[in-house]
Amino acid sequence: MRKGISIILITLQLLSFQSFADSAAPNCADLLNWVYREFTISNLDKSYDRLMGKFLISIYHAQEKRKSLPEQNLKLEDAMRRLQKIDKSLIPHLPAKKKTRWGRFTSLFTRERIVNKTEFSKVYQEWKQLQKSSPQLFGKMDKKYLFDDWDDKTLSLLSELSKIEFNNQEYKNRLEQLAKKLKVKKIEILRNQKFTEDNFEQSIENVNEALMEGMNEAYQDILSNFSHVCSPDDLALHMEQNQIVCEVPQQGTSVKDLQIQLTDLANLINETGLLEKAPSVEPIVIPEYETNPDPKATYCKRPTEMVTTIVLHHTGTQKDMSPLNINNHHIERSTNGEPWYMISYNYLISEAFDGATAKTPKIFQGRAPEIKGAHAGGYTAPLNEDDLSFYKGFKIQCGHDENSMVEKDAISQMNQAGGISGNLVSFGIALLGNYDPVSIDEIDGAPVPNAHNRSDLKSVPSDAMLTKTAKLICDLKNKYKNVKSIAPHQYFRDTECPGALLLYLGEIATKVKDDCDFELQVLGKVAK
Amino acid sequence: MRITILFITIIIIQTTTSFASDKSELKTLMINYLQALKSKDIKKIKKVVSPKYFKMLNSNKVLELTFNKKLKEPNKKVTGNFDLTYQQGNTKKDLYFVNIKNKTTKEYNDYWYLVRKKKGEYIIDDMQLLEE
Repeated sequence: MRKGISIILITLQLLSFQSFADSAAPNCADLLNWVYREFTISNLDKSYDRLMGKFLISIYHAQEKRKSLPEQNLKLEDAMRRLQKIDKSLIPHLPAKKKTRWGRFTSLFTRERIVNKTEFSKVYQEWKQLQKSSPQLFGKMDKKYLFDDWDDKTLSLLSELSKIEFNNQEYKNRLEQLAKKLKVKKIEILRNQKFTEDNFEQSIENVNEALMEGMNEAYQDILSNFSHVCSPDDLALHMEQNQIVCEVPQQGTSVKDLQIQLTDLANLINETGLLEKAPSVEPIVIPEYETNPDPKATYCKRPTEMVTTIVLHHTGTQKDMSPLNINNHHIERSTNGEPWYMISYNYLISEAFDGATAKTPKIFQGRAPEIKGAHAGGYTAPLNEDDLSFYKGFKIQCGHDENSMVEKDAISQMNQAGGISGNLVSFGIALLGNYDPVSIDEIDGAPVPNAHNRSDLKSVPSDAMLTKTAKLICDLKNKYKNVKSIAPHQYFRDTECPGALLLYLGEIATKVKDDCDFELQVLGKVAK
Repeated sequence: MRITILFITIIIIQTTTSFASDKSELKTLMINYLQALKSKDIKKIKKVVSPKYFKMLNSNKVLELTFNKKLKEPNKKVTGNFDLTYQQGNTKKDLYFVNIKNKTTKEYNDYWYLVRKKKGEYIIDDMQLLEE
């Protein structure tokens, strides 16, 4: 069992290493962030959430179906009853047990069997079996919600962890000493490792190897210190029926007990010193966008020093929409006969695409930051003397490609447009999803639904999405020093965008203040 | 010279009729959509929207809200008395962005219908926020 878990964890690490190396910017801070998030038991948390989510969906479907079935499904009743005992958060979703008069009477003399957490795997197996034996109960359920091999792995790891109880003082001391030694060792390893773009992947492998070696050494030291518990030769961490027992270890088995070490690693990464050494930077996924091949489709490069404002949008799409898909639609659009070059925003934040979840949103790049966006057209504020002084000397280059770029003076272009172009001086951040309330318009006497392309009817952003937005703004502020304010899309033109997000600009500014101690100015209500 | 003028005239006629045809087809599509919504006719709705779009309408109980909407003119028939604007896709010529509004309303909505043309038939496939 333990070997199995180790294999799972190692596989998880390798998979995560690969995906991280593919997507993240190459620096030490990213590594630390990633290690904290992916290399620790948070994977187990995510898997557990996934499993419980599936339970809820299964219960919902089974309950709905049960109403229309003539006969009672005893297996289902039993499975639901057991589930009720496993996790109290499931109770609101489970049916109240109907008691007959006889049942009420007998319940006075009988106690229901207590199902404790160690039986979770049993309940899980029952539900899995139920899905196979009574498929009619789950007929309308999407197959992706059926329990799968990954859930099996989650369960095996959970049941293994559930056996660990820290009631043995010797065991506890041993873990504490192990944690201290590992901490010193790992700080040393991370400090000595230099990360550059060229050696990034190799560096990750080196760190991984060094960590494993360090863990093994430290673990062996600790085992020696506790030789009085068991003889030095046969001491190993082994759990059996909630008891620590001594067992002759096989060569190298100690290093396989990764769970404890990973937990400690999570603590280590919280070290203020390490994080100060490498300030946190949110990883940004850069998709490969197709651009509009039409020579009339142009873009402008700008000095990023011109950027002073963050413009907040929602994409007004379903929240699992991919940035690539949005790009596919944007390159089909034109404004005043000019085709759009590519996706209009500079950054997008998703909570439902490419592995992103409501708790762990992901940031995607749209247009590169040095490219003027196409998200805040229309309104331009008049230039005042301060603006003229600030933008003096800035040049922008526009064209369809590098060969057709024409240089323009920023101020003369602004004067032509009648003031400051929102697109030119901002980064457009769009939260994927629709935060507009659904409305039913009346056109030509018919009711017409509007803004309905949402996966749910809520238009409230999750706290994680707001936090992610604030973190991105902090990173942008750190990199582009002139960023000072945030404005909703409707600040620049008459639009409902960003929907209900409008109410959260202040909260984002507060989070920015908390995260990077920066007073972000909130702009609003200037639109025509 | 005469032949050149004739060709140019033919091309102009073909182009304008092609545009006019698109616009009238899209208008018919939207009239059918509005009529289906007004008559609460699910079968009719399914004829003018893609399964994906229908799922979107249905999964959020939006149709229910739509059907229960209290109308200012409940007895008025849908006659096509609305403005329609559209734009054909830059690279995908079977894609159209369509927007409608009452004649008395100043601006078009932020949300655009994405209409696809398949085998000569126009189908509403999506709705997107597509304003700069």
